[in-house]
Amino acid sequence: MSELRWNPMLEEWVITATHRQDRTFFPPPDYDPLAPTQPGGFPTEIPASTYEIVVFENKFPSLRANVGEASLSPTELTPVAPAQGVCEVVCYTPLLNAELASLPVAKVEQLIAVWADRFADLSLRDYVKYIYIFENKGREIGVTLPHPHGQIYAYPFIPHIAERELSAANRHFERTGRDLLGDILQNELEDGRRVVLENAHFVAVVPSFARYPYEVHILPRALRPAITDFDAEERRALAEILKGVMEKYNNLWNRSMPYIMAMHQRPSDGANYDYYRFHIEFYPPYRTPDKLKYLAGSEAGAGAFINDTHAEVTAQTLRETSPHRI
Amino acid sequence: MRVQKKQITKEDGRNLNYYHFPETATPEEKRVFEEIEAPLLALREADQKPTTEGDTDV
Repeated sequence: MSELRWNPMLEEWVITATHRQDRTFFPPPDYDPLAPTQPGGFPTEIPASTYEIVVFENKFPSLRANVGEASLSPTELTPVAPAQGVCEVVCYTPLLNAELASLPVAKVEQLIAVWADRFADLSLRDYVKYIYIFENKGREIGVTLPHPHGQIYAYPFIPHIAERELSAANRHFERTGRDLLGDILQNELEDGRRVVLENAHFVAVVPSFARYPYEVHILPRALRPAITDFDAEERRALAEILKGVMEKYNNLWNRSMPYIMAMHQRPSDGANYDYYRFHIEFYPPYRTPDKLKYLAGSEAGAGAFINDTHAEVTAQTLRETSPHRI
Repeated sequence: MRVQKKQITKEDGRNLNYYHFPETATPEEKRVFEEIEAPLLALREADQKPTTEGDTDV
């Protein structure tokens, strides 16, 4: 049972999804629900003996198209709303032991085409206001299914972080006539110390205001509000820089790097967002090879991140790390 | 890049989309996709209505 409960203190929705308490949690090694279904084998989520890329609705969704009655009566102070939306799982490889970084660039490019199709498809649903494409990678992040996969959440509202980014971008545009991320990108290119990787269409940086030591933002050189706005050449370039950043992460300490990959783009509510630039953010939780950056008191309780490093230093380390599989 | 898509409804009512890339698919992947009993769908571009015309060049 999912519903939205309004937090009047932070002015944001909280999704409650009590049925998710019993979702699949580290299944035994011989049971991979995201693998293809083999003849004579147990049925998985994918009823085919192989696949290239599949996207399906989550079995334990936080949001769903058909919603039931809320469990809590709303009040004027604390409204309750249906958690109507869509949660999808994106399986981009049938192999348990692969990861996105290990796939060829052409495969990453195919995934980008799928992301764009999902964004366009989900945008057609009138109850969907914001489409969030992301990947949780690694046990440290809280991944409960080891098979590599991404997710898509199509929310019935604009989530808090997106709302803040959009508001900041809008205020900047009103003040300057330019898009905020374009100005941030220009600053980073002029400074140079925090650039990690770049190509003809994208630049990867550790932003000066990074909250995680090895946080990377991938910014398009052109103002594109959504993934559907990129042409074939830009999609290829995005695939190349994504793979390069992910390989750098894995080469940094010679092991697979856990992270959250978060795609930020315009909402799908039909309003004008021509002042907002699509981008991808990576949040790797490790600050050293054996120390995690926890979201503790200051971050979780006050919303003030503390970064124990300077972006210029970690960016240099990443820049000097190979973007190719070693 | 050519892309093909089929959508099925799983036994519990959830939608599942298969994406197929003819230029890189193995013979096994091609066979499996062809055997999926569902019509070919074109990929959606933003603000365009869907068609059932098969391949999409992206």
